[in-house]
Amino acid sequence: MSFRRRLLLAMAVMVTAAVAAVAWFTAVRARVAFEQVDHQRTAAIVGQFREEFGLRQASVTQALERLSTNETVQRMAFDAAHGGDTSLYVREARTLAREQQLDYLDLVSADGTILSSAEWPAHFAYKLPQAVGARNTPALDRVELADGAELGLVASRAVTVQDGVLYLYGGKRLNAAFLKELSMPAGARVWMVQVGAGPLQQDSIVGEAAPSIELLRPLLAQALLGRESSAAIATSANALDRVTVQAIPLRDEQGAVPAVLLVETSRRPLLELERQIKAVAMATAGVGLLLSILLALWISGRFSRPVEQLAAASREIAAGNWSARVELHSHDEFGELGKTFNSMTAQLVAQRDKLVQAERVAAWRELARRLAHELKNPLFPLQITVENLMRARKLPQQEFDEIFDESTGTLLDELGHLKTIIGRFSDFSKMPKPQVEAMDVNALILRVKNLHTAQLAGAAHSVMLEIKLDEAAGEMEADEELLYRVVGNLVLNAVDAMPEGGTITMTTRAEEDDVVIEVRDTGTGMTPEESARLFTPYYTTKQHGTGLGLAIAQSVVSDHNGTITVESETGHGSKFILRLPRRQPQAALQAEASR
Amino acid sequence: MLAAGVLMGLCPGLMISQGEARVRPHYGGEVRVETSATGMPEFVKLLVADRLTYVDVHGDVKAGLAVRWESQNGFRRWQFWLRPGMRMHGTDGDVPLTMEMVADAIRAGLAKDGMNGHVQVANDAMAVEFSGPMPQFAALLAGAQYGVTTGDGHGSGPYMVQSVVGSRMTLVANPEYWGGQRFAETITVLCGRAAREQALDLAAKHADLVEVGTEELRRAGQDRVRLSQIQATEVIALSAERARTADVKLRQALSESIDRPALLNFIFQKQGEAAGGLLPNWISGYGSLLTPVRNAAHARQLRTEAGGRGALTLGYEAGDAELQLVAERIALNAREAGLTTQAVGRTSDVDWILRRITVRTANPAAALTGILQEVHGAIALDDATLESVFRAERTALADYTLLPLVHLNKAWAAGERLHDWSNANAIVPLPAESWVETKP
Repeated sequence: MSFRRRLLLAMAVMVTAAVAAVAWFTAVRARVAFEQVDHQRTAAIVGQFREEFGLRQASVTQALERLSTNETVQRMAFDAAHGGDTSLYVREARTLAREQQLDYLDLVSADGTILSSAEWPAHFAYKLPQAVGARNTPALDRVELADGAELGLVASRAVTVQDGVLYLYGGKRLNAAFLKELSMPAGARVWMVQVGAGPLQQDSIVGEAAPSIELLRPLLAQALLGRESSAAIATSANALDRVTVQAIPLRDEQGAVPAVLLVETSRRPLLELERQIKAVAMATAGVGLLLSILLALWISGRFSRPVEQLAAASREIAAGNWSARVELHSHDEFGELGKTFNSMTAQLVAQRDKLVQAERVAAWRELARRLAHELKNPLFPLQITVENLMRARKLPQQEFDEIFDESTGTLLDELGHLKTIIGRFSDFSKMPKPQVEAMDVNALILRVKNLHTAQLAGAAHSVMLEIKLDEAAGEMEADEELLYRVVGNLVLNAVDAMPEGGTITMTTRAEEDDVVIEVRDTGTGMTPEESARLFTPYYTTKQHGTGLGLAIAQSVVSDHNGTITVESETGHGSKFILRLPRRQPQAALQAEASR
Repeated sequence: MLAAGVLMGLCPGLMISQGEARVRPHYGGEVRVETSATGMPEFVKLLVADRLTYVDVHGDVKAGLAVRWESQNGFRRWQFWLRPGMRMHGTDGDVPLTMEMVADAIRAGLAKDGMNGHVQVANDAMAVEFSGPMPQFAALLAGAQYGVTTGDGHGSGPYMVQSVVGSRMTLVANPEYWGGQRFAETITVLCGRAAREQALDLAAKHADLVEVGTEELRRAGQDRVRLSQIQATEVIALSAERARTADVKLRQALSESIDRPALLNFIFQKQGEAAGGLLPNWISGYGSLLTPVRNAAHARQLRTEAGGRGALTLGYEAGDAELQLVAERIALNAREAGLTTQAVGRTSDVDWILRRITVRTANPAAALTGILQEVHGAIALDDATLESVFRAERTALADYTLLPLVHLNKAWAAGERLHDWSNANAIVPLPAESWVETKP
């Protein structure tokens, strides 16, 4: 990854992290603040509930107080105590309850028998033991009705007339209407759950539009144990429809929990606030990211451009453009680095020029040495022959003629030798371009084998020639004659490398888009130094070699866009590896042109 | 002596009537009657439309338009002979009352009662044939549904309809009535009057004759109102609807779970009797043989034996507060027996219906027939004897599809202007001998 990208990424991460941290912190603070407000609001609702509860208690107490002095009630008390016909009063409770605005009123005899019931008129003559015994302070109780039981705020008051006692068991409902009287803040709702003998059902919840009882069960389980608890509940699939429900157990006189108050506050404001914070954070992060990209581009441009220029110049130099320079005009470290780089490349160019010059001189020297070496040998016989001729002029004609004929023959031979030497040097300088055409590499190897098998048959030491051909290698594009000469040269080299005899193995194989030809011998092998210089022109390890064979082979292979390498170890033979592309680009071009 | 004292205490009107019996009756005057009934009240129908027979206060069948009758073929065939010289009253003057008219009335009555009878007329005689024994037929003919009318409200009874304006109906005496003209010249009937208003009108002397329902009877007695003979003429009963096909043990369990005395004593203020049978004891005389039994433990056992069953619905006529209370009380009783019962203010799509059944005759056989006809029940009497009626009633109650609960007392109250009223009862509020003072 480039320096510029790394810098860009680092800045983006830094900005995003900073914005995320701020957003998270803000959201957390908002949540805490909201929950504090939520708690205060719930406390206010509970307080209001208790206040209304107290007002109802007072109302019930006063109503029963008034009833205790009512003439009908007094008469009932008297009749009940003195064996009077109390059946007359079976409908009185409803009338009295209506007068006193009570939801429940049971007129109960001293033995607990209901004489009249307002809320359940058919309940007469049944027992109501909880009515017996004065309980002046209204408390929560479950009031039995024809269609079940409901939660009420009830009290019991004894009315004593002479020796008789009549109990007034009355009260008011704690129902949806009662809950409606509570003035609720926006987004808050309240319900009451009546706890009966059976399992809690949906209709156990008093109040309108109550949430599902299933959602509330964990909360209610805690409340039934007498513990206040709260939970966040999703009321619909909409992410904003989340509420906090607090369950507050309501206790009766015995400490049991006949009902649970549920206070719901909407979490929508909080969720909307969080959503806004997220949106602002996203926008801020987006803008910050954009700014950070621009900033990073500017900074990276400022800091990475010199580095990039240095890298580009380095690449150019690596590619061979030694004139590449870095244009840095700053006065900082990058400017200094640029100057140093330019100085270094200048030095390198100078060194290279010197080296090239030295190599050229060395090449000339080597050529001169070779020429001198090659030409010196024929010149000495020429000189001797000419000197012999000069001395022979003083000899008799016949003798001179013999010497002359012998000397001119020698002169012609040596001149022919000189001509051959010069022809070889001329051939090396004039390597023909390969004539690429489709050919079978395996057939070529067989051809080489057939040629040399006959020649090797008469050798002093036995040299075996083996081939391992890969049918997949098969057809390829190459100049068959040039390649034939290369492989043949390698075979001859291998024969020279095995003076005591051995085995030459020629192998072909296909590798992806290449064809590989290997020529392995079991000869003396070479040192690494010899291997390294093997393809240098005029280098030879043989006593009578020109040192041009492998150089020509390398030239041919190179002209075929291939490579030739050698693997060798002293005493373990050598292996020459020719790797040639199966298809020649030039051939493709020629084929295209011909079409 | 004690009984007489109680009677005099409860019905001071009787004492007053006896005291005034020495006064000579006067023709003329207007009797102002108020009733809670809507439409033409039963007693008005009886005054306007004469029937072939009458049933007296003892339940005996008496001759009406028919001078005589007889049954044949084991009460399957009945033959009646028309009183001669009868005429219909109406605006068109004298119209002879023929046996054909009577036959039409009989056919209409039979259709109303859901009975199949073949009616044939020959001169002044009429024969009615049934596929089975119908020993109570002569008594049944005393019912208002068999009254002979012209279709426009005119009949041959002691009074004629003079006008109907709104809820006020005016009747005038028929001077040509075969039994002799009644003393009161005019009867005005104000229908649809609430019980409380009737009591106030009677007290304020704006009415001479008003109904006294069960609820008002006790207060009326305490207020020393002049009352007719008090008779239990209403049966509160549960009739099985969907429950008809349920396990009989469930129906028996419900019957045995109900505390009938509590219903009577508290809801109906002891104005009647707890019902073990369908017929009130004053009609049948065998009420003690059908004493209602409450056995909650046995009811629970029956309920358990009957197996699972959902909630029973017990319907009553919406708006009837008394029946609502009764229904809720029954539901409460039933709950103790393990029967989940819900009282609902409707009479369709329910398991049981709580009914008020009016007893319109003192004749046991006709009364039982009328009661069973109200609940579409069948009755099979061998003859018109009380033993036969008892057996029929036992049969009707045996499968617990009809559960009598209480018999409720009804009466009429009269003002001071009405004289010779001692024979009045819940069914006949204005006896033939009664007369009214002509001075307002």
